[in-house]
Amino acid sequence: MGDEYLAEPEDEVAPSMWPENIGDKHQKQFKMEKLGKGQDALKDVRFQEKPSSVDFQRLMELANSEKGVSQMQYFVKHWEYKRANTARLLKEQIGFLCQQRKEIEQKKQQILEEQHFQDESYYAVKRQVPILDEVYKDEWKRPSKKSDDLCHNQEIKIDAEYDSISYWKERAMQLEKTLEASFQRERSLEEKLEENIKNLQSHTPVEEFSGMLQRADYFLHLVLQSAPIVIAHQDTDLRYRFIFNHFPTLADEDVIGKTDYEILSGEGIEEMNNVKKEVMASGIPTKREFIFNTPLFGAKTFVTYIEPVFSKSGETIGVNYVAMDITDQVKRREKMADIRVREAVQKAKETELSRSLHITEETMRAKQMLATMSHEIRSPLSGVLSMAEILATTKLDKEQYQLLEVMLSSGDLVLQLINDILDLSKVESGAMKLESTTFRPREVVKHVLQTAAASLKKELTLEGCIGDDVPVEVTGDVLRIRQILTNLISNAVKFTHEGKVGINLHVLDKQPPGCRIEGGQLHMKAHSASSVTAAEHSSASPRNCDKDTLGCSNHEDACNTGIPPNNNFGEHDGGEEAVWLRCDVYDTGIGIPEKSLPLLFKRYMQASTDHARKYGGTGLGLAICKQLVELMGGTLNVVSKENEGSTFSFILPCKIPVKEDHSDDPDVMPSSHGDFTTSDIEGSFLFKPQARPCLLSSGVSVMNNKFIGCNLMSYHPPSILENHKLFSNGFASAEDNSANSTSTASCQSNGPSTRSTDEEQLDNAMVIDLNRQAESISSSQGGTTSVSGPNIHEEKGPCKVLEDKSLHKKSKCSPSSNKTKILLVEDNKVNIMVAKSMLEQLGHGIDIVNNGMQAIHAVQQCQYDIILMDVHMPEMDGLQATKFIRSFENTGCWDTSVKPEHDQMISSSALSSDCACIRKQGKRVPIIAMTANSFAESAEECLAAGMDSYISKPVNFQNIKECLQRYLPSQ
Amino acid sequence: MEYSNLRRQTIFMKKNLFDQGFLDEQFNQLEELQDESSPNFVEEVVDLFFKDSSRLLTNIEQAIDKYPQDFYRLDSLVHQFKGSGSSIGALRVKNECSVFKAHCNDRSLEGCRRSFQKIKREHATLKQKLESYFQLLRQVGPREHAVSSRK
Repeated sequence: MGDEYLAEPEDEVAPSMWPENIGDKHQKQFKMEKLGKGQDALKDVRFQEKPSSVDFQRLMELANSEKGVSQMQYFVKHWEYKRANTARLLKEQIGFLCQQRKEIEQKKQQILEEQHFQDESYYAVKRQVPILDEVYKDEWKRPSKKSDDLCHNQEIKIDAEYDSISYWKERAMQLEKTLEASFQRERSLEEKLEENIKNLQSHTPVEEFSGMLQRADYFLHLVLQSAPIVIAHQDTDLRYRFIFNHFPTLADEDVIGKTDYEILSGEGIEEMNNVKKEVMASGIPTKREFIFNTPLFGAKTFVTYIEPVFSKSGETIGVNYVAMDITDQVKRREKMADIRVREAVQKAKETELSRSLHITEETMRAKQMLATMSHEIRSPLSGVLSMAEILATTKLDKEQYQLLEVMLSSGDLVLQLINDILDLSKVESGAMKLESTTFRPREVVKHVLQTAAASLKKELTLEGCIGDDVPVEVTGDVLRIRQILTNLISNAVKFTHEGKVGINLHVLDKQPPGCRIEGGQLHMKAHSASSVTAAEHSSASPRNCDKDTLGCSNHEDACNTGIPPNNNFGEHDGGEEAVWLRCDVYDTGIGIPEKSLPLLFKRYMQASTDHARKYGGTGLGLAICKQLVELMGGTLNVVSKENEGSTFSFILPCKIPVKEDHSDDPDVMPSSHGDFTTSDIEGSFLFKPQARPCLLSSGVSVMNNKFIGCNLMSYHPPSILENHKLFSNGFASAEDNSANSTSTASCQSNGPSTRSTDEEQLDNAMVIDLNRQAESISSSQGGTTSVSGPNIHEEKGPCKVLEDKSLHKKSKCSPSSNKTKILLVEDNKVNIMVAKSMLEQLGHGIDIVNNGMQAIHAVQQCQYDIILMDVHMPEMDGLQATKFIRSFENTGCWDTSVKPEHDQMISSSALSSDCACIRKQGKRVPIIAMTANSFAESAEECLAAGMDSYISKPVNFQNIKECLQRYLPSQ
Repeated sequence: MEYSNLRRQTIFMKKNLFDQGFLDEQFNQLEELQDESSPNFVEEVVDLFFKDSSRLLTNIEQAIDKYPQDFYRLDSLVHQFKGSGSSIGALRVKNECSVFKAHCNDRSLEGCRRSFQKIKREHATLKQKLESYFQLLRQVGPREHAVSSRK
């Protein structure tokens, strides 16, 4: 009974023992429940971990602070309340016990009375007992039931017979015993009560307070047990007076009484201390992140709440801080930030990319537009020009002629500009394809100089010097090289008023490191070489080359500039030897100011606007040259001194063809097959000026000049100037004019190869007297090239032979074979008639066949300079036929399906008499498609089949002339 | 007087042919090809065209009526027709041929039929016009014509 009773007040007192600020009121119940069991556990925790260290003296001081006092007051109040509560409870208990006692005494009295009565009745009225007994029984039982269950269990067992004397005796004895036990119980209760009261009195406020504090401490530990935080108090000197650290790395004695500096060292300590001092000074709590990097616990980030502690008088006596390790969170946060930054960067990049893509597209479109426009302009312009030229052949008076002359020259200028733009856009768009042919560099240089000399209007010396080590033949795109040379020379002439202009051609160190062509290696070298800025003044190109073999990374840069990889040289056998040719074009002209050098190769840039005004030109020429040189894998540089002259130098990788190969260039003479040495051809040329009448003043001499150019370019019968009949009837009639002109004419007709003979003769003469040449031309009726020199008669020898050959050829081919030979492949009669008439009017002889099959047969039998091919034809279309022809050119044998019937006969006859037939193996005859729908797809098909170009139908003067000019061999 | 009148008439007629779109620049080119050596070059070419084209038209007609339609063959026939037409500068015929080819491309037989009727009409008109033109030209005489074409 006692145990149960005690438990009751305990339940009520316990919750009130917790300070209210420790737990929320509504959580009291929960915490209270834990208490009973948790007390021991808390003790264990404390002893195990000892996470906190404290300076108790300081605690007293703290208790004196404002907070401490209020806390104390609270505790006192609380204690008082509790005492009162306990007292009340004890009083209640006392009251209750007193009542019980009273009852018991009452009962005792009753029992005694009853006993007395029973004793009496035992002797007197025995029979009345049952009634009384019953009453008594009830009365006895009642209090026991009410007070206690234990009493209730007591069953009085009496063995004796009911209502006998022994029975009553027994009964009285038992009741006596019960009474005694009751007394005993009462006494023990009283004792306990007294003890309690004594206990209660011994509880002083201090004991209570410390007990409470201890509990709070336990509780705090319970809560903070797993919190990764550090709680500390520091005094004004920032010495630790208290620290709670869940993961202590230092013992209490190492921390208490020391400053941060004494404990830790490294990054972040200084900062934290500064902030603490600041907090103390300002009295405002703050929350901050500190990044520590200490030898003790490594790199960690803590978020720290620092609050000042004030004394009663309001002075700062220290700081409290709570710090939490947020290293992982910071890392995560940083990672997130990083990702976000990267995302942003990515996005920015994407926008940038799309923008630049857009710009590139725009640029491409603009370029395309420019190209298209230029093309559109060129067609009518060339129409105008050709008509003007025809007009020049009619009878005009002197004034008209001069006007026409201006018209023609202006037109030529515009045409040149447009051609330049088209060329440039072609190179830039990567559409420019290089064609590898074998050529003789000496010839090229000579021709370029000759051409320049022919149109020379100033008194300049043109000279050419070719090194002995330059191979007789090299492989490369001769047309482009000529274009570059011509451009540079014409520039040089333009800007030179007196002195000389010349070309130096020599071989760079035979095998500069890395310059040997081995498979694709050349591309690399070539491109890296090309990445040397053209404006670089370094004249020693081999050095560049060396440099670049080391820094091949430049290759990419070079590629990025839009120069398509140059595959031309890689396609050949690895066995071919390569040389680097260096070509200098020098002049003694006005030179280029240094500041203009970097702009020189830019499009539409000229050295200065003054120059543009004075000398004209588009500013495209050098840009094209540079692009072309780079396309071929070389570099173009310039060195210049103002008023002294300029030197443009380019180096090009060229391959020396294998000797056994049949040369595929018309420059090659039949007699020079097999073994030539460099001494066969002179290594230097000189074109000296002579006092001449002003050419501009006389229309005739201008035309002569022009005529030489034409002759050299060999695409237009020169005789138109002299005789209109020749124009329409072709060259044949010119043969009658004189022996001299006959031989030349026939030489001409057989292509540049014969002319090379001429020129070799010319070289022997060393100096070509231009003036005399011009005179002789104007004096010779046929108007063909004639050379006045000592060796003029010797010239006839080889030419005669050629004449025979051409006659031989004539027998096989059409009668007009001594002219440019054109094969027209067309099935439509109307178209044939028109095209034929036009070509004849242009002075060309043509063969006509009606389908692709016939075209192949024609090609098998005769050498054509150009093939105009309709695309849609019965039996075999133009594409198919072109494929067959190209395949023959590449392999040297016809596809079995189109093999010529008399193959052997042809080859033997070719060997013996017609070297052209041998040469045609490997030579690429230009094939021009004639297409009715010149849309891109169709054009692509044509080009894919191996055609060189296409003209759109209907064939007209403009497009056919343009095409012929472009594709007929001009050498 | 009579002569210059005729000449003016010729020029006017030719101008009309150009203005109405029957002919284009190509015709001028043909006239330029004409000289003493081939004084009737244009007429010869045009004659050739009409001879050739009537054959082609028959072929096309047959191809249209054939079943199943071979649009590829139709296209190639019309292509030929267009080619020769454009060679003499028959602009309207050429344009209609383009329309026909587009129909071929769409495999629209109905369109082809319609187009073919137009082609035939254009062809006939042109033939008639050119015939009268050449007749006039013959009256003017080859010499004068040669000069005028040069201009």
